[in-house]
Formats: sequence, C-alpha cells, structure tokens
Amino acid sequence: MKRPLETVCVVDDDQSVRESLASLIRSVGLRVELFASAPEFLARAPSQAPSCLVLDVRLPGLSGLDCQRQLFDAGVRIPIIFMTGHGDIPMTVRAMKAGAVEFLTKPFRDQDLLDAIQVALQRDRDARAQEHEHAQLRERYQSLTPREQEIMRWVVSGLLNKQIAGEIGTSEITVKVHRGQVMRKMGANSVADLVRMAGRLNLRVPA
Amino acid sequence: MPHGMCYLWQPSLIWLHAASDTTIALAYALIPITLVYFVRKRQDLPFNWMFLMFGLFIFGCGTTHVMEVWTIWHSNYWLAGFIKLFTAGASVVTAGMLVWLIPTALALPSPDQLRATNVELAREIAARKRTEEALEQSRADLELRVHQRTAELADALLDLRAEMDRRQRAEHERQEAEKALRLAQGELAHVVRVTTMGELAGSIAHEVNQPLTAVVTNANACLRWMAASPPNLSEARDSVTRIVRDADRASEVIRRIRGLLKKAPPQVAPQDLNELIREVVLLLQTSLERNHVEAVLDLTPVAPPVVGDRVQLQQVMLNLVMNGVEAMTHVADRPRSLVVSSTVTESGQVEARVTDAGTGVAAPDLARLFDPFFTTKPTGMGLGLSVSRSIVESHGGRLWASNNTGSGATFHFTLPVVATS
Repeated sequence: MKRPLETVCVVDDDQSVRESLASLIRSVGLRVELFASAPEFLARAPSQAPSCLVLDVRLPGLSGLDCQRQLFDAGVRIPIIFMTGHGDIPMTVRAMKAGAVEFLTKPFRDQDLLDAIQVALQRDRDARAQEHEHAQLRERYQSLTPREQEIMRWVVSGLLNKQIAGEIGTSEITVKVHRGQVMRKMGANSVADLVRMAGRLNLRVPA
Repeated sequence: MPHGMCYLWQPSLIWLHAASDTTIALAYALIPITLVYFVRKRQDLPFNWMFLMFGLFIFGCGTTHVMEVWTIWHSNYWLAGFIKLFTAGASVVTAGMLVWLIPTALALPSPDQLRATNVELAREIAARKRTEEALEQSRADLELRVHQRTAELADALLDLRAEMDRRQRAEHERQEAEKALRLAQGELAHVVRVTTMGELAGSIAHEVNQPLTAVVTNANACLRWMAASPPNLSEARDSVTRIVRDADRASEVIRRIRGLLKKAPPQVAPQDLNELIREVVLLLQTSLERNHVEAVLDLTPVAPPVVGDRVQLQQVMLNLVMNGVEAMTHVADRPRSLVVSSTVTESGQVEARVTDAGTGVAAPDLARLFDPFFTTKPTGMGLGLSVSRSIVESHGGRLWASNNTGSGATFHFTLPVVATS
C-alpha cells in the first residue's frame, strides 16, 4: 500500500464489534486504532497522517455526537463515519449537518463501510492538502511588510494605483513598486489570482 | 287326813267347794287353750310369749283348784303344795315379766294411733297417686314436646343443609372468582412485563444487534482474508472463532428475553432469590451502563429458597431495578449507585432491597406509589409497582418503599421461605 500511515480509528464500547471492525479494516490494508470510549479517543494525540474516525453514536459516558462536537470545538477536523444500532432521523440530520461523512445503521454492508472510509480518508487528504496550501499562503502573507499588506488589501478591493496613493497619502510610483513586491511575494500571476488568495485569507478592506 | 274333814264332811259344803273349784279349774283350763290357740293364729302379735306365760300361770291356778277338789277326798298335800309352788313360781315370773314388759307394751301404738296412721297413709297414697298422675301427664307432655322438638330439629337440619349448600355454592363461586382474578392478574402481569420489555426494547435490540453486527462484519472480513492472494488463513480462522462466540452471545440474550416474554401460567417452584437478582442485573447491564449506573450486589451468602413463579419474581426485580435507574437520571453530583441486597429477616423470611441514590419519593407520593396508574414519570403507565405489589402479595410477601436517610429511596420486598419439612 502506498499510504501505510493512513489510520482508521474505531470507537465502540462493544469489544466484539471493535474486533470485527478491526479485522475488516485490516483486511483492506489499512491501519486501525481501537478505542472503547470517546474520552479515550479524545486523549489521543492528533494524527499527522490522513485518518478518519468510525464512531458509535450510543456510547456510555460521552456519546458519539458529543464527541463530534468536542472535536469540532477543539479544532480537530477528522472526518467521521457514524454507526448506530437504530438511527433516528433527527440524530442522523444532526450528525450529517455537523459534517459526518456517512451514517451507517448496524449491521451494515462491509462495502458501505469501506467505501465510506475511502471517502473519509480522501476528504482528510484533501483537507490536509488544503490546510497545507492555506498555511503556505498565510506564511507568504506574513512575509509582506505592513505597508505591502495594506496595499494588497486596497488592490483586492478594486482600487486603482492612483486611488490607493490618494488613500494612503503617497505617490502613485511608490504604490506601483509595493504592488510589484506583493505580486511577487504572494506568487500571484494576476490581480484575479491575488483576489482569490485574499478571499481565502479572509482579508478585509482597510477602514 | 283329807280336806273334807275340815268341811266336816258336810256334803253341801263339800259340794259347794268341789263344784266351785271344778268350775274355776274348767274355766282356768279353757283360758290357756284359748290363749294358745290365739297365739298360734296371731304369730305377728308382739309379745305373744307373754300370752303363753299367762296361759301357763292360769293353767297352774286351774291345777291348784283341781288339787283343791282332789284333796277334799285324798290327802296328797305335798303334791298340792308343790303344784301351788309351781303356780306361785309361774305367777311371780309372769308378774315380773309383765312389770318389765309394761313400758314396752305402752310404747306399742294404740288402735287409734294406728287408725290415724292409716288415714295419714291413705292421704299419702292419694298424694302419691296424684303425683304419679301428674308425672304421667308431664311424661305425656314431655313426649309430645320431644316429638315437636324433633320435628323442629328436623326442619332446622333441612335448613342447615340448604344453608350449607348455599355456602358451598358461594365458596365455589368465590373460588371461581379467585381463579379468574388470578388469571386476570397473570394476564396483567404479562401485559406489564411485555410493556416493560417494550420500554427496554432499545436496550434489548442493542444487546442483540451488537453481536449480530460483529458476526456480519467478521464474516465479511473472513471472506476478504480468504480472497486475498495468498489467502490469510490465520486471520480467517480468528474471524470464524469470533463469529461463533458472538452468535452464542446473541442467542443467549434472546433466550433470556424469551423467558420473560413467555406467556405461561405461573409455575410455582422453589427459587433462589440471589440467582434471580443476578440474572436481572445481567439483563439490564446495558441499561445500567448507558445510564452510568453502577450496580452493587450485596447478597446474603446463604439464601433459603423461596416459593414462587420465576418469571413473575424476575418481573418484580426488573421493575424495581429499572425504577432505581430511572430515579437517578438527573443525578450528577454523586455516584449513580444502585445497591441490590438480600437478607434473611429475623422472622425467617427473605428480604430483597433495591436502594438508589436518586431524588427519593415525595412524602405524599410514598403512599400512592403502589396505586394503579399512579406514576411520577412522563412516559410511565403507572402499573409496574402496582403489579409488582400484587405479585409479591400473591406470593405471601410484602412490598414497600422508604426514603433513605441520605439521598434516594429503597424498595423492599419480603418472601416466605420454603418450609423445611
């Protein structure tokens, strides 16, 4: 397998279910980590490799849905596949709205679970890639001087160089030089490119 | 010299004496004969020997007179003298006897007295006769009354028989009604049991569904292990081993539940209360875990067997444990601990207690807790405790509730133990 560190975490209070899931998941070459309760899983250090969580809804102590909320609040964005003995619609809706990949009713078809796991892992890979990209973007933005950052915000809000010079009280030439620096440092090929980056960085027009 | 000499042989004088003496002698002879005859005839006469004494004395006197006549011509004076001596002796004895006899003779009733006595006797006889007649009359009356009374008693006996029949019929009807009541109670108990199991359905479904999920997943994993090239037989074998274990677990759960849902007439047999408690707690394990309740068993080491229907007694226990769990739903500041204990009481009964750490029972509710359709729960039917109490009471025991000194309430029930013969 090309991604040996990709891990599936299973949280279920029932040992039989845990063991059977572990066997099934291992049979397709994935790594499995087993947890008997939600707190046990929450205590685990976040994985550096793509991973997903197979989580039972009805757990003693902290329920699966509570666990999902706690992960979200902690900023952990691991894709979750829920399992339940008997899932009611409100519960399913709540889980899916909170970003669950799949909601499986026990007993489920093995392929359904494995497909959901693949989807979840792909989602995690994408998220990780996106997060990586986002981090790079932030890094680049942080490398701009404060004046360059200010000028970038004015540029993406659609002002011309002359208008920006008027706003910040400098010459049009200076604005042009700074703007060239911004395009270079951010690695943007066009203003449209820069606008997209600003959107992702959630930049606002200066007051 | 003959006595006639004294009379100077004067014929007239001699004849006067001779004739007089002879007459006296004859008279004196006649008297004793008469007396002897009289005595012979009246043997009953008191002192008749006295008459004979008189006879003897008079006979003696007569003989002296005969000797007077004889001595006129013959001078046998010695003989005459001896006869006189004899007569004198007889006279003295008779006179003495008479003197001695007089007081006794005076005591003898006179004919007047006898007559009075006779009259008295006659009166008495008459009185007796009257009494006898009265007796006869009362006997007749009594007989009549006995007849009447016998007739009355016979009537009363008939009434009594009729009453007994009536009572027997009433008793029969009562027994029938009791049987119907028991049947109805059994039906109700079953309905409540099924309802209780319905409330537990989620828990039960989970209990069965978990091993089933594991079985299906293991089977699929096994197929995948075998489809790999080369097939991973070690993993496949492990999967099948788990399949067997989990399938057994599922069927065990079903066996336990089917026992409780079964609608069978109560079967009374000796039961081990401890065993019963353990089984119920095991059945509710999932419920306990999900409600974060820790069940603590504190069972008497030796529980004498109680007599009862296993399913019904399990139902009581199930109900009390479920109530205890529900009572602690909102408890967050202390451990949700449920203590199930069994003890042998001083009176030789077995007592089971279910102690929760919940909110307890409000004082006014404590009395109404066992009323049918009384419930403090939003979804409860209010039949669980009422049915439980009727089950316990039909087993000859008691079921009651009390608030703990700390938090929560305790439900107790007692059951009589099997009499050791």
